[in-house]
Amino acid sequence: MGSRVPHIVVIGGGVIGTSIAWHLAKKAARVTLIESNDLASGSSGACDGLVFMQSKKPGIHLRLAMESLKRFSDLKKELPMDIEFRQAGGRVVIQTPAEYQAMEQFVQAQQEIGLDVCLMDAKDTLAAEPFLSPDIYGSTWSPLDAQVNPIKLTLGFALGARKNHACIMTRSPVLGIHTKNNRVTGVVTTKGEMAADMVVNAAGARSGLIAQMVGIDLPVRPRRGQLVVTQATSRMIFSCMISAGYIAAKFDPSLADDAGEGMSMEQTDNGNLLLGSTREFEGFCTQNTLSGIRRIISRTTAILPALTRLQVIRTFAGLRPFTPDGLPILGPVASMDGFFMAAGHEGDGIALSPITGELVADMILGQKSAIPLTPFSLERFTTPKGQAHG
Amino acid sequence: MGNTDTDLRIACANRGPKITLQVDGVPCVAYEGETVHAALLAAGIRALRIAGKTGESRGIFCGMGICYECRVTINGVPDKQACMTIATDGMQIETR
Amino acid sequence: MKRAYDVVIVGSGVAGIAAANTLAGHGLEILVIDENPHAGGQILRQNCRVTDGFWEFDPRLGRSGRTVSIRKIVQSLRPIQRPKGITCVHQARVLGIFSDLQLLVHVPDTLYPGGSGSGRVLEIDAGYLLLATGARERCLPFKGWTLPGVMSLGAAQILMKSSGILPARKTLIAGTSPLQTVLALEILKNKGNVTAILDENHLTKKLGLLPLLKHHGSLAGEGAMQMLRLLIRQVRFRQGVRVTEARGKNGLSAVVTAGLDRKGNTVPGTFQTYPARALAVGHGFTANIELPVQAGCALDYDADRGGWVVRVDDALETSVAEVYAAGEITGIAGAGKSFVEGKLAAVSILEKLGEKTGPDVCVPELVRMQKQQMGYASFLNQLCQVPSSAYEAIDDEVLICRCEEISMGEIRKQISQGFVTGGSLKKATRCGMGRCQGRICQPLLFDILQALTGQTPEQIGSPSFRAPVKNVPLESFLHP
Ligand SMILES: Cc1cc2nc3c(=O)[nH]c(=O)nc-3n(C[C@H](O)[C@H](O)[C@H](O)COP(=O)(O)OP(=O)(O)OC[C@H]3O[C@@H](n4cnc5c(N)ncnc54)[C@H](O)[C@@H]3O)c2cc1C
Ligand SMILES: Cc1cc2nc3c(=O)[nH]c(=O)nc-3n(C[C@H](O)[C@H](O)[C@H](O)COP(=O)(O)OP(=O)(O)OC[C@H]3O[C@@H](n4cnc5c(N)ncnc54)[C@H](O)[C@@H]3O)c2cc1C
Repeated sequence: MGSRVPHIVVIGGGVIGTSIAWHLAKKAARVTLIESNDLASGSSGACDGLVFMQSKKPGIHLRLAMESLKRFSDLKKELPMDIEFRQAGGRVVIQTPAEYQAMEQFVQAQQEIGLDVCLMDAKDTLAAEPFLSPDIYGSTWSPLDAQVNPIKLTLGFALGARKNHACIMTRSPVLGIHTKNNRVTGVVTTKGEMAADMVVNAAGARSGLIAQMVGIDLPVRPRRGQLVVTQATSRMIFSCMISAGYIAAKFDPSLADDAGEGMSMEQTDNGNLLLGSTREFEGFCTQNTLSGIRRIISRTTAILPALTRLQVIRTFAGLRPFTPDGLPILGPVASMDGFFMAAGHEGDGIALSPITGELVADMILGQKSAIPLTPFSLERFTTPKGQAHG
Repeated sequence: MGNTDTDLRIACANRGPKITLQVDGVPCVAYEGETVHAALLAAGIRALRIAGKTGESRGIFCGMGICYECRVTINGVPDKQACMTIATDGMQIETR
Repeated sequence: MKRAYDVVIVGSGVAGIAAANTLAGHGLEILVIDENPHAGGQILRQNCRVTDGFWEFDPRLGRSGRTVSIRKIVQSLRPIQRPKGITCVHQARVLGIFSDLQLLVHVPDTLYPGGSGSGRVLEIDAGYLLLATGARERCLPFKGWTLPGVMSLGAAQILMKSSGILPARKTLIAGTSPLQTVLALEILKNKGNVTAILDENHLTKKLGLLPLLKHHGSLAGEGAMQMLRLLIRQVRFRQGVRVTEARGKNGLSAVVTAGLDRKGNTVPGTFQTYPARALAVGHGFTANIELPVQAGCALDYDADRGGWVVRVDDALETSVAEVYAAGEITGIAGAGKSFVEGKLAAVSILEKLGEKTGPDVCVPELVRMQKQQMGYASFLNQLCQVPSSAYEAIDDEVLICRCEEISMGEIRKQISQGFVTGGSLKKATRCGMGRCQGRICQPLLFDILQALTGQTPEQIGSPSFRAPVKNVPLESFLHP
């Protein structure tokens, strides 16, 4: 290690790894990002781009998301790519009176901590979104919710990092991590070995495999999500939407099976509608399934009947990095010096990427961070109290 | 458009009975068995739609269902591939 | 239509028909699916415009063991009563292949009347699957290639063959493909006019490739005869000329060309303008690999076989068990190979099923003939191949992705930013994300990447496809 500036290796070229690399590089750190395939070839290239505040649990989760949201407008200016960030608000569509009641409570809790969100009846909802089914029961609305192009965000972070002299290696799977006296010393890739003072595990749904390389067990599991893409069309929805059922499914995996997975809809800048999504534990399989495609289509058309005029042009599927409590794992791990976690963002990685990159970079560089990382530590799953947030 | 009807139709080809299509509200003669894209071409209509971003006109390109350039609205159903659809009597076709 | 078949054949071109003929008579339930209104695929479309019957090649075709010529294939096709066990559906599309060979198929309302006009999507189980999805054309883009009036060579042929309509009163023909002469003759036969044939290939290149035809005398002969007939008809024929621009407002009115030097670079000062309402242009073929890729079949890259093609073993089984491939999708080599492969794949499936095949079918002999027919591929694909300098020379303003309207300039920019794999360039530019899902631009993007970065095919990577491999009305999913 000729130079005294420590060498930081970030594993994973998804939205999290590239955000960390960009934040580190901006602060003149010596960074190498290693990606096994292409940039954004994992979940960050196979997902929606919702930056949704309403879907976050009030508490540390929502606070993290709010801090992240604040950073998007600057990113729009700073990154060398148009990330198609649009803050057009977001809506949780309510389909039954029971859902309405549940959402009333959820909204109240959100309002108490100052989130700008309100309940709307069917009439007001339909006035704002005239293509929705007249059968809906109402919605909750927040002007804060936004959307972004996740691929462009990831590529933008990566190009920004490179502009700031980060080294980016694609098509280079990490095969192993060298350690000495419980400290990381380097990584092995298909292109050879590389010394490292610090290693950041940002391998998303595959972060468990990276952690195993240094003998650490992670509770991160891949949770598949399938999406259906329509042709580009003129505006059909004016803000992004999820169903109240989605919120239920998100916070209680057992609900995903029978009570349904919920639905999400987003119309991209290009005009395509992204219809989602499923939540399935099927290992690392990223195939689409017939039943998944059919479920998505029947759920979304029930809410937005105008979809039936459109054509499906593609489907795809990605793996959400699931953790048992829905929060990411961020920061150092007690058992291995120089090894840092930045994975497990489940269905929020895109929204949380700006703040994640900033917090992890600050922590690595020993700087004061906007939010303490302790609630996100891996140890929350092993220490008896666990479940630190709330 | 005058005599374009007979212009491009091959004299010796086997043809079905004469039919009438409505193209953008205008009657247009065709023959049973012809594909929509061919019938439109024979009627002198080359531009079938407008590309969204550049605003250019587009027409037949691959002729075999691959390129999706020849999308038109047929009997109210948008985005039908004109090259893959057989014309039938009374068919309503909208270009653009 | 049933919900399960012993064998499903996707595509009823030469390969699909030959396979169905061979499979018939063994008591199997066979489904043939084709998205075209009629059977026949790309070359028999005119001959197959019968509605309810089926077709058969004279069983003697190919028995001599010699190469099978296109002429013989066309001549030996005859209509027959639809054999028992064979179901044939048209204007139906296989959208995807899922586990346990469950197919997602879009069928038109004619099969299920009372629908909404957008058809419906069905699941069909296949015991064995034969993919015979054929090929499409490639085109080297030039300024204005998106203008109405500019079309592929095949499109011009199809207008005449399927609908009896000429592409224009006078048609200009260009590119590198042997379809140029086929098209010109077809136009003349139908009393149309050919303004000129502008062949990019110099005579020296063509002569240089002749040794590749040493086992294909009949094909060489066919080509020579075509040339001779065009000469007799005094069709203007120019070699070493490339279209550089198509002009017109809302449709083609003129075509600009330039002369090429031996290396294929345009020569300054050789520009020439032709008035034209129809330009038919093509630069060879590429296999329709979308469905096999979606199904998980492995591919091989071989420029001599037309680029990315489906990997098969001697029995024509793909890397996915019980899925076979035949015809152009295993290598672009013309109708003769499609015929032999259709037969071979069918025999392989029959053997797997423990069915006795007739005394006249001998697998080793079919395998030998298949290899022999494949010999034509090198000639055909090298003839059509465009030099990399042609890709380097594409103007920045030329659109590469017609659907998403992405220009060469944008592609150059993203390549220079480091997006040099097929997958990453697609992500960075949106090329291939539109309606046609890259069917037109992905092979181009691949060639552009090879030309501009000098990478190997493996480095650039093969394209990926997902169901539905073709656009499908969302509404058609709503009927279970
Ligand atoms: C259907 C769906 C919809 C979603 N919608 C949203 C949404 O609307 N909003 C939102 O905020 N989030 C959404 N998400 C979640 C979001 O996609 C993820 O949280 C996020 O992409 C995770 O980013 P990441 O960088 O951690 O993982 P990834 O993007 O998967 O990146 C990890 C990278 O690590 C690489 N890697 C793995 N192993 C190795 C190795 N050994 N060596 C080198 N590299 C390796 C992988 O190739 C991969 O590129 C959605 C997810 C899905 C599946
Ligand atoms: C435009 C064009 C014109 C040609 N003209 C000539 C010519 O004039 N002379 C000549 O000798 N050779 C010509 N060829 C070469 C031709 O490919 C071969 O000669 C031969 O016809 C190939 O037979 P095949 O059965 O392999 O494929 P094809 O004949 O291409 O048949 C494939 C069939 O599969 C169907 N199909 C594909 N995907 C699906 C799906 N997902 N669902 C349902 N159906 C599907 C298609 O509709 C098509 O009918 C032409 C090729 C092209 C592309």
